[in-house]
Amino acid sequence: MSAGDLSRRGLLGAGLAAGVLATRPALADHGWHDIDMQGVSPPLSFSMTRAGDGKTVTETDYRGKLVLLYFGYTFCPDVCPMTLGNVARILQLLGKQAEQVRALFVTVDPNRDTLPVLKQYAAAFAPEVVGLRGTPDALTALARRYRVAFSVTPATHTAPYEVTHSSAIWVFDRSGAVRLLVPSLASADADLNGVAGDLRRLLAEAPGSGGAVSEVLGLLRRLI
Amino acid sequence: MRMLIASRPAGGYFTLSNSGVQDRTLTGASSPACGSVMLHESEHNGGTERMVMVAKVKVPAHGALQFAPGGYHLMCMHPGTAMRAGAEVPMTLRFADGGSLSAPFAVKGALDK
Repeated sequence: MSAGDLSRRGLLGAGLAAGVLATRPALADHGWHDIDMQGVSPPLSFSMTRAGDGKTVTETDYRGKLVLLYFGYTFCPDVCPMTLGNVARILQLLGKQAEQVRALFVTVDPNRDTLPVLKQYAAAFAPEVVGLRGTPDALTALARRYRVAFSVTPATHTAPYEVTHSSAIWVFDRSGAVRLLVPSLASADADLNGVAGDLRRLLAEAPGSGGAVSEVLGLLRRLI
Repeated sequence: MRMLIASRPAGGYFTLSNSGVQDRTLTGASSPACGSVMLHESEHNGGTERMVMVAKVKVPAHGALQFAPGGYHLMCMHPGTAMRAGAEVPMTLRFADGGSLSAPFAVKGALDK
């Protein structure tokens, strides 16, 4: 494992169980700017309410789109806006191709994040940013699926309401297969061109081709 | 100030220089455009993000204190109608020695630099 891999692992830390990366396939392509997760985690699967129109949506509503998945909350005036602002800037870099991308912003604080607020908050960044609100069970299931840590601790007499969430952004291809992990965009000097380059590369794939490879890798892992 | 939507807090950023020979301690802030203002810090810990309230922050003598995205930020709890992108709002910073400093803060939208 190269030094680059080690430093990336350091960044991921508690947000991911170490086992995820330990099982990273030897076939991993090192030409990506972000972390290649192909075949490591299961394909996208969820059922939540879309803030924009109140509809219940699942992964099948996003087949044919590249999907970025990020967990945050709207009472977050610093890290989430920086992350979503950078997502919006990456979409701008993609130009017309941004139409083929959706950034799913899943609230980890569904008790306070009502649909109207979540809709407004997501729309402040870009039309491709989609606010999603799930039941506690649906949220826990999705976070667990991608080993994303979050916690919500309501205020007490001595402590304020506190929310923790992961900085990671998961990238899924147009078939819904997991492809890349962006450890964090919560930085003023995040490499937006690097991420945009990865997304362009995924968009250039024939729809479904990456997913087929991913399925084979998943099958291999089950056999081993 | 980074204004997103009216019903959620806006973040505030600035650099404070202290040309004096003594450390100063920032203990609070207020603005008529915010309802109340709190000092907060974003903490990054092994891929997890957390926001904590801060009671005071030192401005070192002959030094500077930065409130910048991803670190310290002002939390404008209830942005009023004056808080809109392109406008300026007054902000007052309070110090432990009883002193204060007021300055106009430019309001930016979600994607403004």
